[in-house]
Amino acid sequence: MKLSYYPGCSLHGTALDYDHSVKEVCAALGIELVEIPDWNCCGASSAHMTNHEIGIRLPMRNLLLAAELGHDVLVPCAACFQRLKAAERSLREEPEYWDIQGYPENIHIVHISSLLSEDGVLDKIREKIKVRFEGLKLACYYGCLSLRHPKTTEVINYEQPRTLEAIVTSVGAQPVSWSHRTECCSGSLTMARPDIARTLVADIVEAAKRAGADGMVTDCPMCQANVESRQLDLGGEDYLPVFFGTELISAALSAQYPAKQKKLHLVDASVLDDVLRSAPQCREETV
Amino acid sequence: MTQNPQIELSPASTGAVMVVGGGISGMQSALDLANSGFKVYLVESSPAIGGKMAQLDKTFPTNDCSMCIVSPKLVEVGRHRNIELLTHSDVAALEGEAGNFTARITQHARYVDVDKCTGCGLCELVCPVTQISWWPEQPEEGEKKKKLKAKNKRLISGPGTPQPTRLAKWTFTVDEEKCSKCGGCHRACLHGAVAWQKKEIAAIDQEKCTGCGACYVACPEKFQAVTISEAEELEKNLGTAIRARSDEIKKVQGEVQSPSDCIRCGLCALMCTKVMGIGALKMVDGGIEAGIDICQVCGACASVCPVNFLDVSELTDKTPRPLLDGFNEGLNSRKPVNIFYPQAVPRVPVIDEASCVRLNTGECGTCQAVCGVGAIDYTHTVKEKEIEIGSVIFSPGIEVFDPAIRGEFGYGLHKNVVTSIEFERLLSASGPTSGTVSRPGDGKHPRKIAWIQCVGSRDNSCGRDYCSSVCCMYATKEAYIAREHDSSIEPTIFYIDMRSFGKNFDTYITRAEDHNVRYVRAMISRIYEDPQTGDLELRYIDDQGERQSEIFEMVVLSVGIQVAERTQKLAQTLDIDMDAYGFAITDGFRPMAASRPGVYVSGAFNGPKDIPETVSEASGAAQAASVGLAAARNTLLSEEVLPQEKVEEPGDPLRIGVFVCHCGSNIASVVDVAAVTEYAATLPNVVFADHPLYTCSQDSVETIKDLIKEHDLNRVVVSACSPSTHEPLFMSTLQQAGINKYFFDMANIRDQCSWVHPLEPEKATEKAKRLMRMAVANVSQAEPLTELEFDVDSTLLIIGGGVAGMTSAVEAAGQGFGVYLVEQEAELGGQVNRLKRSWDGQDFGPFLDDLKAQVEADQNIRVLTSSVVVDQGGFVGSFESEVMTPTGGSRKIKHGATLIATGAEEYRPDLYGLNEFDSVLSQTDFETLIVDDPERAAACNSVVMLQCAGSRCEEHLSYCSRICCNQAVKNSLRIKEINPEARVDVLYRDMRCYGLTELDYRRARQAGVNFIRFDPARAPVMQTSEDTIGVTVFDPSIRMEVQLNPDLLVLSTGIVPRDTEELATMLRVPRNDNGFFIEAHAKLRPVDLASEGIFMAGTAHGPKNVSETIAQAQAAVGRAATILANEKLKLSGVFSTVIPENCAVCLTCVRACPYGVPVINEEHTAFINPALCQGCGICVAECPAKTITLGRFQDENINAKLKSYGEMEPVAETGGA
Repeated sequence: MKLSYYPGCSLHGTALDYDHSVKEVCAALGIELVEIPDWNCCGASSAHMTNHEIGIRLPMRNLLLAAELGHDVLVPCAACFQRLKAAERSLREEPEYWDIQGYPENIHIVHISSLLSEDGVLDKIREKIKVRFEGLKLACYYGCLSLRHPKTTEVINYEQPRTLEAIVTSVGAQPVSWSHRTECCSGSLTMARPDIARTLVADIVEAAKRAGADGMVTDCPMCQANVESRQLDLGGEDYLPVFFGTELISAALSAQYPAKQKKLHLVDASVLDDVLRSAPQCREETV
Repeated sequence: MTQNPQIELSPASTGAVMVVGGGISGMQSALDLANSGFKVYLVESSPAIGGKMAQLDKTFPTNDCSMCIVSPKLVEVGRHRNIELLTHSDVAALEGEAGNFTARITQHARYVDVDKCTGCGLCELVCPVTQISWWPEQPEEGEKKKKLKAKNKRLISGPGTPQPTRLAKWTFTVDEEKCSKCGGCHRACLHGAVAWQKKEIAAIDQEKCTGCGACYVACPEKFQAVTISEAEELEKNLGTAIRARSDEIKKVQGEVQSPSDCIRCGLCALMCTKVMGIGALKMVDGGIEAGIDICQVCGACASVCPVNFLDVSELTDKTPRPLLDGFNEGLNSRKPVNIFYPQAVPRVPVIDEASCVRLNTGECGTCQAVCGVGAIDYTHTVKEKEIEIGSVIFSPGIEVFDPAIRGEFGYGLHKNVVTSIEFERLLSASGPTSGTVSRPGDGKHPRKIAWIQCVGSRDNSCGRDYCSSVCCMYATKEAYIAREHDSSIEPTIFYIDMRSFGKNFDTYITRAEDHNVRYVRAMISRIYEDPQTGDLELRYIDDQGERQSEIFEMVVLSVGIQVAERTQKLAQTLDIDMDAYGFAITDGFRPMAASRPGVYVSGAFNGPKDIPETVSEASGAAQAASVGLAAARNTLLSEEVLPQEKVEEPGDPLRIGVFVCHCGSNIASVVDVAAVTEYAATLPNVVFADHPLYTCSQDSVETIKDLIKEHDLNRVVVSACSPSTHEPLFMSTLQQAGINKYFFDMANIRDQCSWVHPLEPEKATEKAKRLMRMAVANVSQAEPLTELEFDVDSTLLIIGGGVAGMTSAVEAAGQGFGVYLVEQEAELGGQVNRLKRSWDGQDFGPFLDDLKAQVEADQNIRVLTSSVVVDQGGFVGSFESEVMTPTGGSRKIKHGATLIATGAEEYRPDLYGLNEFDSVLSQTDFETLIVDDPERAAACNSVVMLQCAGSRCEEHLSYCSRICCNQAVKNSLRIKEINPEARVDVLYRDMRCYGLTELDYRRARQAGVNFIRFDPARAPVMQTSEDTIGVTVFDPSIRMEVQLNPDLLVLSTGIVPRDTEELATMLRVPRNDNGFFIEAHAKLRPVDLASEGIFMAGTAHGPKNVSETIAQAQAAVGRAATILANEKLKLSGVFSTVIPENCAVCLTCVRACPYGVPVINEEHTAFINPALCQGCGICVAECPAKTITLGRFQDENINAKLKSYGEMEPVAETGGA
């Protein structure tokens, strides 16, 4: 499988490790990534709030570059995914307005969790992992941008998504049942209204703890940063680390959780370390 | 307009009708048709008739038990000689045209012979399979079956070490001739009971043997040297014997609820290896070894485990797929052989091809072995059948919306979120929890329960734009009934508009509020589940605009109704048109006629509706479907020829025969039927007693007839099941044998003995003897009763010449009945003369003209205008009425039935300047203005409409007039058409745009009509004068007062029935407080009045629109046809009779009778007309002079029973009970 890859700014900045784990996991699963040459900003941060035209033209350029490569486009960042999908919708619905003809029908924009939760990919993960995180209870947290608005994202199960749960199960961990999986993490308000951000993150983390989670899993770099960082504001000692789905798979594939990686978390993430130490090795390894 | 312009009355048409769908609609149509001279084929795709109504617990607004009121219909349909039931069948094709169709029916394989099966349910009881299996690979034809070998094994060990049992032990021995001396049995035995040396025959030490059968399982298939003896039921087959031993162990040691130690009974391994042919289980030292890769996950092992040691999910890596009971909405499990529901008609199981082991691997066969009448037949195949019919009624019903589509409610993820139909099953006494309200998640009794309305209704986001019409009421009913079950429950209903638009519905809501049902007008945005408690948090915005959050223990989603995809496919097969949602497209003036001539639709497929409207439509569809076939009436019926009834001479000795039924093992497993029979033979005058296996099976019934002749029996007693289902069968058996059918009595020793006292067989037997003895005593006193026959006058008297009356007249005339149409005004047409356009936008003018022309042209119809019916005498089938004609003379009319269609008119209260100022109009005035003075209408820049102006309040009309919301929507859309710039504000309490009219409501909002809700406590303030109108209203959506100064104020004033006080008194039919006539039964007899032979239609019954009125008119004629189509009527032999000598004329009976039958006659004594008497016996019990008697329930009968009860020895106390 060959995919065009759109990392976006987060994965080149605050979520650099996300970028690494995506690449590692894809390589291990036999998915070849071709980074879109000369890609630019997706328009998520300020452009789409400032000017609709710019907000669409920016991601559209990336799509047109990807069209030249001809593969489906893999997007790990939820915000980038949402903007690229918005541009795609504009391209498909009003090509005359944007004055762009012949954008190929068969190029799909794929969010990382949708890709990894495909049946065939899950089978491969189960087959290749070296350890299973038995007993690790994780709260899968989607946030909003990879799902909403469904008319843009074309996600069917936007209220009760299951992709992260499928990924978590494939590495032997146990997804907890909780109801805050698609709540707003307040990422867009985190600077402007930290008071709101604190309340919302507190609700989410509290719910995850009540469900018995040892940590959280997400596929959105904003959620990851926001939920971890705002927990620090809340005080207390009992923090929940927020892992990327690919971070977990990567650890399961290598049976290692590098200290360097662990340090990147703003809160203590050693729970993964602990479970790795006691995790049963997969049968194929022992034979 | 006649309802059937396309069908010419042709003698060549077929006198049969196919009804597709056996719910309440199909059943009602079938009964009406069959009772008016047409052959009916009732095609139902599920295994039994009954439909959705059979699944409901109670019904609104009367809280009647749904099953109790529907089951007599089920039985009547099942027994009707002119209704052929084709269940588990589908229509594959419909060819031909109106009058002469040919339908091809696919009858799916049932694997149970409907004629032989007695419905005892034994097959279902013994079937060991509980899951949908993964079948092992089947051998190619000719190949031998390969023995499965497990590669992946798992030890199942209990909490402690196994404790071998010797309960109900079987004896295992080694057949010396067959033994191959291999020693397999020796190695398998865990108790050292099998002695074996190399090259020697094995021997079992019975002292050490615990009867686990490990030796039997281990003995190679080709030798079969180990044999079983002393095993109960083994003569049937091993599967049956295993079940019998399991039951016996359970009985002796008591039911074990939580998993406990293995008792080494060995039944699981025997079942798996020898009955299922798998061999995945083996007893080993620590417990049971499971071959998890070969396990087919059928669940048979666990289902016969007497101690709940085995859990299917531990025996496999696959996720078990339990068989869920569809009738109970998947809340409990079922077997592959399954009777659809306990009261099913036909009460015959179906074997499910997907899960039955026998049908898939050829193993098992337990149900066939256990069936006493040989009804199970694994060789059934799909059959095709062609039927000839004249017309078709399509009443397939609906399914509920799948709430998983509305993901925010977490249905399917949050265990304590259920659908409303699931909640019905939880409330139902025959449901999975026996009527206990408990949470599916943890079985806890919930205290706070929330209902969320409009889940899959009024929702454009999921393509269900329409209102489902029934949810507001059923949610209220469920909340109300839940509190009846458990008064600590606190129900809350979250709703958008309270759509209680039907007759007496608002009163019901008020009653619910008085019973602590809380209503909150809010949409729920999301449900959050507490992962620890399973409780559910609901968030919403309240009336004040504040965010609220509230915790509930259970949430019920009021799911809407929709047309199933398979129904839509079927409708395509029938070639009828549907709208975007799959509902039938019909014309508002021909509400039951589908797009294809000769095909009629009824029930919720014809738009969402409740049960009474469905029943009404069903009778209407029966009328519409048969009017074109009138010439072929009675051509395809089968008549029963009965032998001459033997007349008893005085002094003839009593010769009583008693039959005590085994009901398979339903009765016999508890009650000692042989002992009851022996005892019966000792009773006085009993000359014959027997105990058939199934008394009701066809061959048994034949045998009874022969035995009656052989032993010259003149009285018969059957001790078996419920008389309500089986008495008619046995009574007709007596008739066929030439004895009076009332020389019969039945003792219910199943429901009242074996079912309720399974653990006390001796006492149950004693009770059965006593019940049987009382029945014998009763039958000894029986009198022969005669069923009177009299001639029927086939003329219909219709009172009222509006749309209802005229439609009825045309319909009845089409059936060939004579009609008198009496109208008090000089002109026909009634209220519709004053209206312009129907709710669906059609002009009334041409419709009304056409209808009047048809009435006047029809020779069968005699119209009497400016005339009044002043007196009515006689009884059903033979009435005589007096009509005052305009000349002042009176005229006598003879007729067989009466139809009241007296109608209603617009209410005109002196409110806000109505009837005073030019600019204040009623909706009807406004409608007239738009048509007659379009220029003035177009010049209107601002209109305010006030809903419920004089409705739903104490001072004016207390009820909802049902039609005003739609009228307001229709008129506001009209004004927007004429003048798109006009501002229209509709001030309302609840917009009651039920069913598909919700689409117009949406259209009106899209067109820019403002809808402003108001609370009656904060009603809009109107200031009207000759020149100006000032309206002040608080708009809750913006939480501000709004000032309006419209050009016109339009009041939706509602409708009032015409004055019918004298008529009602004269006909002795009751009206409610509002002056509408009261139907015989709010749910199932919506157009009948309590007095036999009197019907009603239209707004005399309650507010309704024109389409509903036409449907009801057709229904009323359809119902009347069941009387008028008969040449003669037969009365029940059971009626009350007054012995005049002792009558004190105290009027007690006159007051007590719920049907108003007793009258004081010229001889100055109470008189009860046998033709009108319903035989309920209330007057008999009430009469202070004890001078009223009722056949079958004479004092002699009751005294004999009581005496017999007293004479019997009291039941001996046994045990510690």
